[in-house]
Amino acid sequence: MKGIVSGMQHFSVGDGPGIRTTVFMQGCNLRCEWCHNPETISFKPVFLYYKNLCRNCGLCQKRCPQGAHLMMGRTHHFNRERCNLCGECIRYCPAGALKISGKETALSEVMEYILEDMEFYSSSNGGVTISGGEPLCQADFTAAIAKECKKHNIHVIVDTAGNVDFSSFEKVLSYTDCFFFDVKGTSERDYLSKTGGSLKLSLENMMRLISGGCNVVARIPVIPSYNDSENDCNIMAGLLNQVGVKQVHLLPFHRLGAGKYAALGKSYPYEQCVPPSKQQMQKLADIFAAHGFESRVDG
Amino acid sequence: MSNQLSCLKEEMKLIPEKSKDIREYLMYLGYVRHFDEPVTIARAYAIESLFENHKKYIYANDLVAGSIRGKWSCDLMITEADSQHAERVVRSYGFNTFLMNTDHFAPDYETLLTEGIEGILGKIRQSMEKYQNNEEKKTFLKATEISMRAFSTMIGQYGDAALKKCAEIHEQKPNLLKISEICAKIKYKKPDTFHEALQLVWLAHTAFLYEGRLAMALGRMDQYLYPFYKRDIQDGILTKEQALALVECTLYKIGESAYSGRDDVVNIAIGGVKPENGDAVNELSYLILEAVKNCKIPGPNLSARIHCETPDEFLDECLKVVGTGLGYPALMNDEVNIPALYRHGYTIEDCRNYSMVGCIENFITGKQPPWTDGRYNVPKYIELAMNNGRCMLTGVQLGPETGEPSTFTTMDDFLNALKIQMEFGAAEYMMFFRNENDRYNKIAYAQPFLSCFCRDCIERGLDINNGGSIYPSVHGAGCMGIGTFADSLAAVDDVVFNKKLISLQTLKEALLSDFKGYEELQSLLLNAPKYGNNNPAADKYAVLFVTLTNEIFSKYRTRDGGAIYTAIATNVQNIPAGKQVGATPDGRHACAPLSDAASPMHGMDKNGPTSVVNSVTKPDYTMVSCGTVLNQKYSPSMFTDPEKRAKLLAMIKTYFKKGGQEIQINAVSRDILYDAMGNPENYKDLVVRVSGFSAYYTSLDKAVQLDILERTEHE
Ligand code: SF4
Ligand code: SF4
Repeated sequence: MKGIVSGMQHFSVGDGPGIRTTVFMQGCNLRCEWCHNPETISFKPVFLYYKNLCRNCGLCQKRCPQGAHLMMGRTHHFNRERCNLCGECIRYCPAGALKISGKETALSEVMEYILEDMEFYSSSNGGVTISGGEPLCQADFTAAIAKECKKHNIHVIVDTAGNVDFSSFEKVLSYTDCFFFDVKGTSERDYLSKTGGSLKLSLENMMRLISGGCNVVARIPVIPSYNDSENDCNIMAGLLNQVGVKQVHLLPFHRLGAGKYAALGKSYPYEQCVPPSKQQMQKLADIFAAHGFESRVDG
Repeated sequence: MSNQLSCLKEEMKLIPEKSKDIREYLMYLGYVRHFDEPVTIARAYAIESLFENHKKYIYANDLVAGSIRGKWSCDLMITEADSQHAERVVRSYGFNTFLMNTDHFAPDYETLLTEGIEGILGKIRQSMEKYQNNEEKKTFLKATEISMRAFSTMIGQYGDAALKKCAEIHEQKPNLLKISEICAKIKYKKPDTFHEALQLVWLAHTAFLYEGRLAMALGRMDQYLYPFYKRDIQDGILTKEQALALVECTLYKIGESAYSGRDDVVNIAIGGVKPENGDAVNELSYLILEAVKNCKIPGPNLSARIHCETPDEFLDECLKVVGTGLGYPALMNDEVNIPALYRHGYTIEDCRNYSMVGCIENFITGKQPPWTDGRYNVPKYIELAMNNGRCMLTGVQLGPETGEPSTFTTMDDFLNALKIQMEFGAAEYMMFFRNENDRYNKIAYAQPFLSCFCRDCIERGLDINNGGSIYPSVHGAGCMGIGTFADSLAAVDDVVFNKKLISLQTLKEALLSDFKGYEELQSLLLNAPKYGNNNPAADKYAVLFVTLTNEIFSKYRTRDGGAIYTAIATNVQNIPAGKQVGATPDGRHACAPLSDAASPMHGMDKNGPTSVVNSVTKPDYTMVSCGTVLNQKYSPSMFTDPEKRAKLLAMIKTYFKKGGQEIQINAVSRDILYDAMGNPENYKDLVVRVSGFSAYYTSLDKAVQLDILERTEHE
């Protein structure tokens, strides 16, 4: 069995309890404006060229059969349209400036990577987080990974925005210890305009998970001047109360993904957006606590 | 931090006037009255003069006396001509040097504390009687007696100086009166209280510094001081706070070494197991940790010994101190170090009672001569194997002719040539060491004072370097560049023999031209498997490094039959050592730094710390008896956030469980992040860890990097 994976990372310390390995799945059905992993959006592989790391040595130009890399004088230009993602140039780049996100990956390869850190999961009560992208867009593959993990007694978190048909959840839920469920707006209209998805669908799915006895944590990205007011938090708290979720993690907006936009040749609409302060985040977390949630700032 | 420490810190800010080190002149004053005596005795009188004639400096706010300021200040009028004359005499008597076993030693403070100077002098007397028909031993014992008596006098003088200080500052300082009382007692009698015990140890350490010794360890302070601490607390004559202030004032004076222009490394071992087994962590272990944190100076090189039953609480306290940016305690794994020592024939109790000298060197506390080590530059032998024994930088034939690379048809052919080069290199290394180590007659170069702090010297009537110590001298061969070595062999294996992308001969040409005109090849080499990523193709050569160096050096012995340990720990030395090595098959340029200590090559470990641990723990470190160093960096939030710190703790425990020997952790400072912005090639491994996000710091935009910098300041 194969899936398309953007990348895998050992020693993830912000993706749930203990020391974890995070599997980032390639492809997402939402288009959140502030996305910090833009390379994982497309279901097809994408090429990243980090201009800030490039030493303009010209080796990639020599190797590329498509003529996608072009040295003009002493500076390197990348012609994205020509690239067919063969990967040849990457092997020759001395600076690590070239990457492909999205690789068809066998289940066995994912598992081999995950199992490398077995001892760390058990010593820290950690495990595996399947994230993305939207892991439930590859529900069969995600389920297969989770199932394998359970065979080894590994704690599994699926990190999802949940804008999928519930049947996708059904594939994974018996192998999932906990869902990290992203909640990305306070109204149907906002949600649609900022992410292209449906708040209603995600809340319904969340409710069904909870009533089915699944362990669910609501994860709220706090985006300045979108959902970061006290009022927004009060509304979200109301919605989540109805759904029946108990735990809320607030994730402050950050700009760390900016370099990846540049590497993809895209512009980043949140370039100028200032991340919320620690104090503000704590204040918002306190609002949720006042509503009776177990709340915390994560990230 | 105690109030006393803050006052002492203030007072010590006043840096002594830069004047000449008068130690040589003081030694001269000793020698000059004893030209007719045997050299051993003359030496003892030189020591006597050092101890008795140096000016006893007392800080008004100190609780524990003993300062090296007397090295520079003096009431004598010494002209330039005086010191030139003195120098002639002193140089003629000659000095011991590091390679002749003189410093890097963990003294037997336990005996000093239980028997006192009185007890040691008594033992010397007994031995003198026992050996009254042996002139050589009698002479040696007389020398030890002279030096011990001088030490006793010195203690008394410090007491007097404390009283005088009161008069000088026109103030009755209870702390100074206390010092004078204590010194008057312990100059002869054994100590009974914690304060007395600490004072005695510190003055012994100070005496060693006047002798000119470096890297003298304080050993297992939390063990030998504990009986005194416990008794005083039980008797209600000492509080925890008072004990903390005493330890702080003691350790802060290690910082005086900065006056001489370089920081000394004074190793202190805390925690671990007791000689009879069982966890040794006690209240003093925590107290020393706290004191070192409050002192916040580079000198006290704190080592925390960790074993499988060390309480998590203790390890967590260690991490909190590391997180303050101090970079220590270094964490040592008893489960590896004890077996690594045990295989050399020490008793199991002595192995369990090990401590460290210098940076990390494992040492049988107070039972073997001081340490020596050297640098065995392993990647150099890859260069020689690639070039038929000729140096690529100078063209000199440094090693045997092991054949042109074109004649090697398999990886094994290449490895055979490499092994021959390494064996030859080790023979040369040992020749240099032995010549240096044996340069002078051990009787003439006796060390009477130091011998009093090493078990059995007095009983046997023999100098520490002349068969007096229970165990023979050992030597550490610092094996450089495990990462460079593993990466180079993995690259040859992968690019030349496996994928057959180039011939070994072409690789040699590329190395000779430092990759000029071979940039593509260099990229291939840089992208070959690297040590530190849990990649068996590279890690197996790290295993080879450890087994091969151990095999090669276990053939050799020190002059008195001790072992040659290997070490994979040569901190900072990777830069000068790299300057001597031409381009290597891992893609490294000629003269660039080698990989550091046991760590993977800088920036080549791209899979995070757990993969580093998985790679680094593949070799069997019980073969590396001296010790290893693994350097790791983490962002400050890993230490400040208790939840994240727990993850770090789990990481370290797993590392130790898997057979890691040592780990030194640093909190990534703003300076490092700034440097990474300017020099991304050195920081490829620096990962930003944020929920649901992965990126290398260096791949981030300048603006974002600045964001992170800002955060670091506030965390
Ligand atoms: S991936 Fe292949 S086609 Fe694309 S730029 Fe690199 S070499 Fe050219
Ligand atoms: S090979 Fe890498 S460093 Fe060289 S020009 Fe291409 S992208 Fe830049």
